[in-house]
Amino acid sequence: MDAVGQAFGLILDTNVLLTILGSAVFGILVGAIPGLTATMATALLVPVTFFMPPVPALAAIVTATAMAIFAGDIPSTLLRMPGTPASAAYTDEAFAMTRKGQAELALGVNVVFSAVGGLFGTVVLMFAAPVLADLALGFSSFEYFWLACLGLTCGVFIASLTPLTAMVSLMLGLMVSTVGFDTISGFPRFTFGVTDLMSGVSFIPAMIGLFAVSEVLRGMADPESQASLPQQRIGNVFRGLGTVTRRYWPNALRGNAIGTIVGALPGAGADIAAWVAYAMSKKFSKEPEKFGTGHVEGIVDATSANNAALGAAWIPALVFGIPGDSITAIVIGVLYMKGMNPGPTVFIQNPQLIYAVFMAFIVANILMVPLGLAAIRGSTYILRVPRRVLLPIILLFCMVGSFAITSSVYGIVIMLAAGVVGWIMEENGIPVAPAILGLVLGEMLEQTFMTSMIKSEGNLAAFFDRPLSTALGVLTIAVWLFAGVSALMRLIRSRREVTA
Amino acid sequence: MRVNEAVIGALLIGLALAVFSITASFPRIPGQPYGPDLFPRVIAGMLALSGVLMIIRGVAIRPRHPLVTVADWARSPRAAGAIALTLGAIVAYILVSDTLGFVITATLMLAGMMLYLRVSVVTTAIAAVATALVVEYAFGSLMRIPLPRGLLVVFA
Repeated sequence: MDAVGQAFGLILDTNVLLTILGSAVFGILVGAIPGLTATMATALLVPVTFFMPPVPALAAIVTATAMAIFAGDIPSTLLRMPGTPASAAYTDEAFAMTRKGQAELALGVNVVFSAVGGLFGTVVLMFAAPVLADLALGFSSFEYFWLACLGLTCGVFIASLTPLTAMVSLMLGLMVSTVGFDTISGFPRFTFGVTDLMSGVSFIPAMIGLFAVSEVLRGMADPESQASLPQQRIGNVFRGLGTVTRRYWPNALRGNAIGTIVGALPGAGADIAAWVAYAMSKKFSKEPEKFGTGHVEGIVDATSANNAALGAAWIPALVFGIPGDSITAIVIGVLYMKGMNPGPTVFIQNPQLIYAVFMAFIVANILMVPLGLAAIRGSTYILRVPRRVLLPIILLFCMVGSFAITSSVYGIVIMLAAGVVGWIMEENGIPVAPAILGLVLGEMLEQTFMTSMIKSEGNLAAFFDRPLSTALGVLTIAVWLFAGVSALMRLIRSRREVTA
Repeated sequence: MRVNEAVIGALLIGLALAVFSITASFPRIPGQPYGPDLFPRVIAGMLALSGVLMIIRGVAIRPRHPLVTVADWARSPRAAGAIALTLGAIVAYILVSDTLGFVITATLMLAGMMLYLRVSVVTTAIAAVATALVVEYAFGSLMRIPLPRGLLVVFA
């Protein structure tokens, strides 16, 4: 328990608390501006955290993302424009409430249940992560190989509507991860004589390009997509909240549970959690006919779920080094930069840092209520900042951020290339998130695969020798088979519908 | 610009073949059956497989998607220009920031993009100069990122 005391000391430092406050404001701004996601908030924060000690760096990311996911609900409710994709599941419902004159209630539900959901996810993270870490100490390269496969598979098949395009994206990401010195033999691969490429494609500029620059390009092409506020004044958001809580507390609990489970699954994050929770809410509701007409029930479920998912996504990230969503994919990069290599041993070597991360989550979610209220009051101003001014500034931040990581224009070149590729991919319906997952997990996948192959002298049966690796392997292959069959069925159905 | 899945599939297969031919020259570790070429080849194999599947889908799915669909932005010269300008601005920054320095390059870049997006001249001037100076101070001075000073080296 000494580590807990140390963690308290680390988090209650004035500088850390100021960092948390600053990143909270930053997260709210980014989340409230439609088109800028929580992932982008993280991407833009990383270059700044680069120069901080580990605790404020991680606390900044934790706070900014928690705030961004909540703040995404503000434009979603008031403008029918989800601030982040995590709000998309219940945007129509929340906006329908606004049209009925219930914007206050919708926003009040969002801020309170987001905070509760976030705390729930954090509690699960605090208890599950050390237990899983104990288990993971006995893992060999075979188990890690299957876990990485499972993580990538979930990223492809759960997180996307069209698994094939997600697989294309993932394979491109994995391919790019092989650029640079090979981890086993040290041979420089695909560098084409460029010295900068020898250490690999720098991950953070690539990610800034894929997520942020592609978004800027899309925004530049259509800078006018800004709606006007239908409701100008926001009253007391706590009115009626008591009734909602008394009536729908089981929904909040269910939303929390769903969010935690989906978040903890590798590859699926807050966006998916909100969709699943909303769908479940409708399915089990006593009055499903009211859904879509401005009914608060589904919002309780979904807004609880997306914030719960945020904390739970850190479970696989910290314990196995496998990201639970695209935000933790970036976090893993940060952990490596700070010398806190994710994996079970981080709980033994740096427990005070891990506990400090947990506490940052708690502080962030408590801070969410007062800051959220302020943001709701100020939302009429935030939402008036014109995108035409904002887009060039965001681009400049992307460039400075990429430059900061490599201290040379090489970072900007990577960012530009990734931005163009990401933009072309999204134009063609290929999601970019799996590519990031591939880029992050590529090295681990290759290392565990090669180590396992060399250990077993090429005998593939060795991948199923140990009980745990067998279980993980069978599970992974079952998901592959299921996905393959269902894709085939869909194709056949599409042909049959046309002939019929 | 949206192309049919089959076209993407063909490109992926091309990429996979290129990876196979490049990895052929990779050295082997003496005494090891597997070298640095194995993993890229496995991934290239998967890329080729997804390429084949993309071709099947592009050809088989009903209703069939056209070979090339022109996106909204490509039909509007203004939108296409905005994208070209953005990419051009990044390239220009890469080329001249070292000579001109961060503050001048960033101000010009921001001003050019904002004026193109029809932000008023006054707002542009204030926003561009203020942003460039704030970034220079926050990143350059506080976080000690070596942003190029260029022509402003006399003030350093």
